[in-house]
Amino acid sequence: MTPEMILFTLGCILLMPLAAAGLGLIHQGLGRSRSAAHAMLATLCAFAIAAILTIAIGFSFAIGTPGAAHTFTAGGAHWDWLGRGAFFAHDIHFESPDVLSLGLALKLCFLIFAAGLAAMPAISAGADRWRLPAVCAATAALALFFFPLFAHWTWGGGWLTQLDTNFHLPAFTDAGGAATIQVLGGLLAVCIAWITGPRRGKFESNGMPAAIPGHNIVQVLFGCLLALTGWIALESAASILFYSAAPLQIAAIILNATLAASAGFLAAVILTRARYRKPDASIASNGWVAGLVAGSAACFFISPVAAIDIGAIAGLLVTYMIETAEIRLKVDDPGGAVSVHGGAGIWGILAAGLFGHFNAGSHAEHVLSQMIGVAALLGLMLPLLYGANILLDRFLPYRVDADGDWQGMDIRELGAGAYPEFVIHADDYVPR
Amino acid sequence: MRLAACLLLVSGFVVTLAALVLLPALGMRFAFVAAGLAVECLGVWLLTQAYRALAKDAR
Repeated sequence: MTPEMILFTLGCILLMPLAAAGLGLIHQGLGRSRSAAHAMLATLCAFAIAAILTIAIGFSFAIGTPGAAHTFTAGGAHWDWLGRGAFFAHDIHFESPDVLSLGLALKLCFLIFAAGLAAMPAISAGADRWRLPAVCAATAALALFFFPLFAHWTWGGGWLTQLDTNFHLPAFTDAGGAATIQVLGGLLAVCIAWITGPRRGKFESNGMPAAIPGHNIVQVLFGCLLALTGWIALESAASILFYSAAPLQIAAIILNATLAASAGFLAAVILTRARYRKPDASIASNGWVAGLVAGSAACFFISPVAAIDIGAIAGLLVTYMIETAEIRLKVDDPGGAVSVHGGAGIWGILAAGLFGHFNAGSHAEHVLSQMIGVAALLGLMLPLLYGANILLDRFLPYRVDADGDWQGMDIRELGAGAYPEFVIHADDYVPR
Repeated sequence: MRLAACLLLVSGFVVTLAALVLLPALGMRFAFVAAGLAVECLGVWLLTQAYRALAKDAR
């Protein structure tokens, strides 16, 4: 890497927390006012825990020492499944920087923020009922093992990147973290939504969901703009660090991320306008983030037109997925995180194979590689995440008690509301 | 029901890996990986049904 690219990468990494700030604002704005401070505190707690545990242990599993990994041989193939390196980043010599240490240090900086971002969707899915200690425990499990495991497969030279040498297929592509950050986070989100159950009053006795609107849509929409900046930084940093992207390709990333988000947003605005006669701001904001998520898998491998197509389809899909999850599947996901990060993320991974321009391999081969990545996420990461969180729930109950349900998480867990000087809600959504 | 759903998820992944290791032709691999994904989707659907039933009981 040239000194200019090193500086640019550092700048991108510095801007990555804006993605978390944006998602945090979106999630708390889509929740109830009585849990707003709790949601933001949970976001910061998750970010802090992810940062510390990634440096302590996660980085050694995700990247580790170059050339060293936990491997086994089966079926005539060499399976690299987990990184191996010194804990607490002792492999990196900050005092006498060399080229190897510099590369590792940049990846470490990137991963501490990426692990925190992977924890964000679950906070949205568990809004208004997921206890703070449980948020910390689930984030710790994610940052210690699950995120590093999948990050190693995609970014650390693991078996998904070795599909070419082992099975004569193109390597799995995840240039902007659609699989490693977004879908993994979306899968954790659905586990949390299942385990914590719906909010009291969300479903009526006949099973129909009650509308519990977000309390601050202005913050939600501002969060969308913040998230765009953070997303461009995230995709740029990942593409440079793991795919050796050139400066011109960074320009493509900026264009594609903006176009995918815009197309997703407009698709959701138009669809909700057509279906409900007025555009729905909360679903439109979900369309924006869905466009960002879907466009990130192949952020610089696709043309601007393909980015618009991918984003628009993601925006349409998310609108229907949110409705299906709530009405048919009875999943109470206040911020739509499962659909936005999980559903749109899976679409983005497959779309990378369909729309990407790659140097080698046919589209069919790339789609197959992407399908294998999706199969690993659904078939291995989902049961692992689900089992671990069921186990954690036994020792540290995830759901707040009945009083907390009624009072809101701010009063119950923090002792004070987010907006103490204003009486801004009645108990509209609590059964009396 | 939830355990069966998790077993279906893992089974789908095993089918995918088996297709990779045992089948050399692209078309056959594609078909079996798609089948593996279909089994996983069945697992997700079963898990969703299990929680839907729980939500119904809670009401």
